[in-house]
Amino acid sequence: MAEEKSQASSSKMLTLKASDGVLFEVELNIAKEMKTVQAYIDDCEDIETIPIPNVLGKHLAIVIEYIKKTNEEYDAEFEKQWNMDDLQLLLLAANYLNISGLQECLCKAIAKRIENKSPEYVRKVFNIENDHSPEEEAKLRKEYKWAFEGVDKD
Amino acid sequence: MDIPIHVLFDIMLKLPAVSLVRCYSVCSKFKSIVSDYSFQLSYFSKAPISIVVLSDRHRITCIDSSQNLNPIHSSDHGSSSSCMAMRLQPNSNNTSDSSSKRIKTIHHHHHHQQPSSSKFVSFHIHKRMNLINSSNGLLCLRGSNPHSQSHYYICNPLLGELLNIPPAPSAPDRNLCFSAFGFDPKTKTFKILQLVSKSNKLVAELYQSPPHSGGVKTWSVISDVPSAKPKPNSSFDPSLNDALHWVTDGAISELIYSFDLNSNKFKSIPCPSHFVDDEYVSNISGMSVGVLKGCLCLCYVVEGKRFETWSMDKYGVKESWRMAFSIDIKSYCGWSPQDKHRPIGFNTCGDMWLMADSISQSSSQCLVSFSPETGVFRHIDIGGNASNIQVIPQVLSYVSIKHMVNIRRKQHQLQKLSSAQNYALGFNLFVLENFR
Repeated sequence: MAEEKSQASSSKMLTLKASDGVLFEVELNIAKEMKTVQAYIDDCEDIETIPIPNVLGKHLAIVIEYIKKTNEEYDAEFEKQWNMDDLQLLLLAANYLNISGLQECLCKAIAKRIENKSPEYVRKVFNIENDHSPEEEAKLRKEYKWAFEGVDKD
Repeated sequence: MDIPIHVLFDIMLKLPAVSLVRCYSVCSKFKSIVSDYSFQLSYFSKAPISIVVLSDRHRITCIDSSQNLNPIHSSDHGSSSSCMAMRLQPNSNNTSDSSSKRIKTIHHHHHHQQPSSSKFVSFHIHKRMNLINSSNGLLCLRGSNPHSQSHYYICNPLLGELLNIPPAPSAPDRNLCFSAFGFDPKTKTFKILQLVSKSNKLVAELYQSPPHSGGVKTWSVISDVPSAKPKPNSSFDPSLNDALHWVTDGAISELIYSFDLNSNKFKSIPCPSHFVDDEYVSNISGMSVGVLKGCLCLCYVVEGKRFETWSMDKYGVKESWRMAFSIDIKSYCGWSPQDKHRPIGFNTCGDMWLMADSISQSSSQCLVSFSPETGVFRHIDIGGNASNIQVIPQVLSYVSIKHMVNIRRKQHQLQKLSSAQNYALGFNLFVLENFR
């Protein structure tokens, strides 16, 4: 199917260069799904290699594959393969590259993984320090005590 | 790694209401995100419609439909059936077409009840109450006491908060024809309308909560009341577009009435064009209005044979009425829906919720969901002694009443309800994809 796509539209290929130097050759219509890349192309038409300084090669590979294959079934299975750190890095990549479908999919996936977890777990996941004072935190927990019952074990 | 706030924002918008309650205590950044007004607006515009249940044991329970509860795909453990209704195409004149569609019985297997306690939230309500309706994340209740004045309450059933309202001027229960509530999050005010029959005339009493600028507002009498009397139970979800809606026993031009919460004026809403004469109307039963996917909808049974739901795609425009779906009465697969097939509400996807007599247990009730897209009925079995259930659709709010509404100490008193065991209702939940 990807082949049909490229034959029908332009067969022009573009090179994307990840932050660790890994190079990816992609068809123009795939690259255009990344609105950040599209903006680059709009600015300089003849460009052949586009630097992607914020994204590691391994994550850029995953993002490109997602764009090629995305559909409902693929989305449902996609997020299961990645651990929480990768999910976040992929989300940052999708955010930088401005790919709305992938951002939506990853936000949903991360939300699903934290929705029934304790605040301690959530802090660990996002590497956040608890900057509430002990009194403030105790007050918040007491006010909605029932919301903290039955959360998943970390 | 440092996730930028706007990305955190997008993740948190996808969390269910209970999780957002916990977010206050994660850190100050999280607390400021969930307290942010634009976050709340986005959240409420996308939050799915959930269910609030008030049982006769004075327990009010929220079921958050955004949480994926016990998906039905796995097998073993007993069996129960869902059933595919005969699908009638909207506006189909060719009934011979439908005879070729057969009623399929799909046997699904249900889980033994797992006490996953975080899935429902329950509180004790200290006295007999009736659910009135919900609006923009808040719920209105009325104390059920036939001999005294009407006491209304505003409730956040997810947080277990109850706000007292000064009592209405009149109405022991028997004279009350209609009451409904509308909440405006932008002005942080709400209004409660009650229509009371006095010496055979309709009197309208309106409660308006105090605006931010101060001033004491409370109950007042509204003039220019329509003469057509509201039909009982004719509005399963009255609040839409800053107006309240109900069905009357009047002429066709006055069949659907509304009260505009901005202007405090009554206005009739035009019926669908096929409501041509009184004869047509006399063949209709169980008419009620509500909300389906953000539009005003009209539900009724025609000639005892067919249940129809019509949706007014453009509010107030007569020509925009269109049939959303219809069900042949014989296709309810053995369930007998209560209350003349009146729905309880519609969820965000357009699935219909209704109450039916339980197939397995007499004197018990089931909550049933119907998907017009697939034509499948599935039921949520409410077991035990829950025989007097009131159910209402509602968007759950993680924001406290004190931040949603301007409260005046002299008029209002905010109570905290005591938490109840989460699965004491004996819910045997078959919650499936259609529940979303």
